[in-house]
Amino acid sequence: MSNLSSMSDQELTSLLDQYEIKHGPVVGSTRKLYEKKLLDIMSKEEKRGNVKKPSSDKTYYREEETETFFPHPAHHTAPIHYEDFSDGDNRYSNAQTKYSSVTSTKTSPLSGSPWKREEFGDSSRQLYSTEATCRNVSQSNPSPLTSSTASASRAAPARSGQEKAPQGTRYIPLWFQFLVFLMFAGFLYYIFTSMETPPKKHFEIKN
Amino acid sequence: MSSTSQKHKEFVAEPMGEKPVTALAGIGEALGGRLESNGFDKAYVVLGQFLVLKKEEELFRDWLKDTCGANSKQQKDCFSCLKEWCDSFL
Repeated sequence: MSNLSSMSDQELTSLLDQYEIKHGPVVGSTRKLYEKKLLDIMSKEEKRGNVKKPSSDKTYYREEETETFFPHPAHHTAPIHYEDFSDGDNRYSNAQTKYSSVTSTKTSPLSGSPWKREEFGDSSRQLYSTEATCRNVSQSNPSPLTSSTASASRAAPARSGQEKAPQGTRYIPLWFQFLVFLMFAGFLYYIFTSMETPPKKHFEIKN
Repeated sequence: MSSTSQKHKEFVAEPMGEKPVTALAGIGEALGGRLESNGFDKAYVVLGQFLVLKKEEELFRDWLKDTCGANSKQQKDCFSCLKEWCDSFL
């Protein structure tokens, strides 16, 4: 890759296609031009690779409004996809109103792992409108849920971290993010249904 | 001042035949000399290069700059001259 002049015309052509550079045939008179273009693009790609990630993180967190937390190095790619499947999340927002709002209010008072917050973040984004209705019920119930969900969420980053490394590109498939979110939501649902009585107690105390 | 020079008008008016490379708009003595030293001694050879670069403006201008050191205006003049010639005769 480093020595373009030693490559054959075919190899240069495939490289040009790879970088989506408009080009004609690689012949004697055009070779030097294309080698130069490839060198420019490759050096630009390196620069762009370093710059792009932090800015995309900032965009994500600016939309969050809950908390600003530092971007975890392994999770640079994750925020991009949360924006993508915000469309899919809307379908689940109604079904998950109660327990999701529990998790969304949970983010502010607690300090936990950054990954956990990212998971909560996208559901909270969807449910800000429903959050107010359930806030009284849910606000008192953060602590027991936190510890159990934290362990589940910690399992998720390990898995997704492994997935991210071999891919090479910056994007994780959408289906994978969706799957992780579904599993996490299912886990939350299970937790909530198994703990239905305590919220009522808290509600009484408050009144 | 007209947008295209006299040279341009003369070049695009007829088939180029064996015209020298200095007949191209934007290519003067100095640039012509450099092109000739690189093997592009006739206008049709430069045409050949233009066509091999798929008549792409950016590619052709970059090539011209690399080969004979043409500035932006000269690149533009040569490109538009060849393009118009092709539109009429190719």
